[in-house]
Amino acid sequence: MLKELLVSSDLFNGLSDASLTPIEQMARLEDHEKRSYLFVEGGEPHDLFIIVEGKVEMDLSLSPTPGTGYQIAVDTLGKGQTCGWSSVLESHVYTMTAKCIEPVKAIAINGAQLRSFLDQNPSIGYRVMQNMAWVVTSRLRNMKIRLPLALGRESKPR
Amino acid sequence: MESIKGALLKSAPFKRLTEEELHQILALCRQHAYSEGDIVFSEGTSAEDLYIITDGIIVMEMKLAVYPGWVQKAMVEVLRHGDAFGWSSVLGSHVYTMTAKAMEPSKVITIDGTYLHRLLDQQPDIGYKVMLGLVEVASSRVWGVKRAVFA
Repeated sequence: MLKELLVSSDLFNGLSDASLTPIEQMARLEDHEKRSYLFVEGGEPHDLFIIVEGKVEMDLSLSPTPGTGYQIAVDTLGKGQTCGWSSVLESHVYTMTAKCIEPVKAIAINGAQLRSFLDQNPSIGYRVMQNMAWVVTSRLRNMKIRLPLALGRESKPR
Repeated sequence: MESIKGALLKSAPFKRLTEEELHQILALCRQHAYSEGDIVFSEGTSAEDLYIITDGIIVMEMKLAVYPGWVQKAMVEVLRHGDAFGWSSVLGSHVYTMTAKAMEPSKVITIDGTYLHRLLDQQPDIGYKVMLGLVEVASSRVWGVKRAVFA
């Protein structure tokens, strides 16, 4: 079942059944309550998330200190979309906050474990990185459009 | 040739390559020089080349819709030796998302995105390492955009 969800996601689409098997073994299905956080900007990255059900809002902090102060919504993610890529890139911190604005079911994968697998399997890694490139660039595009406008009209305390 | 190799080895897309792999990239490299104030490429134009700086300073600027109908240009990043830019030539929509401008006389390596992509497709070992580095560069721009907006 997880394999079907993975292959329909923006990160793992195009992977063969055999390639998905080891990734499926790393994946765990989690339930998150409305108004809970998958991760917080500035926090140490551990997991990558693929949304199965519900909506997740991606927020950026207005404060120079990540994860504090007023938050601005720069994107809203739904089924099949990925967040938490910082955990795979070995970044020191998450760049945004992922807040569940509905009850959310998500697949969580440990970023370091996935990265190690991709390092050892570059053919699969190449495909996943191509997909991740689309995820990151589309997030940047949405952020570029929504952030300045949101800054002008809405900000809210966390 | 050594200055090109040094800049590539310092850059995010190519720092993970072996000597042998790097030689295949070197075959795709050309060099260009820009004077202070020159535009390397403009936001919204067709993305053809990936760039690595060997000398000088390049700034990345982006148009931001501060309010509907009011667009402002903001500086997102200041890039130096070994920094990569122009990743849209290899990733995503193949349209440059920012404008690159020389802040002082600068030298850059240019790599045709189509040829590079062909090499990456043919050799996934190289493809994975380079694509990982390009995603790192694109991801780091998230912070740059945030800094630009909140500045």
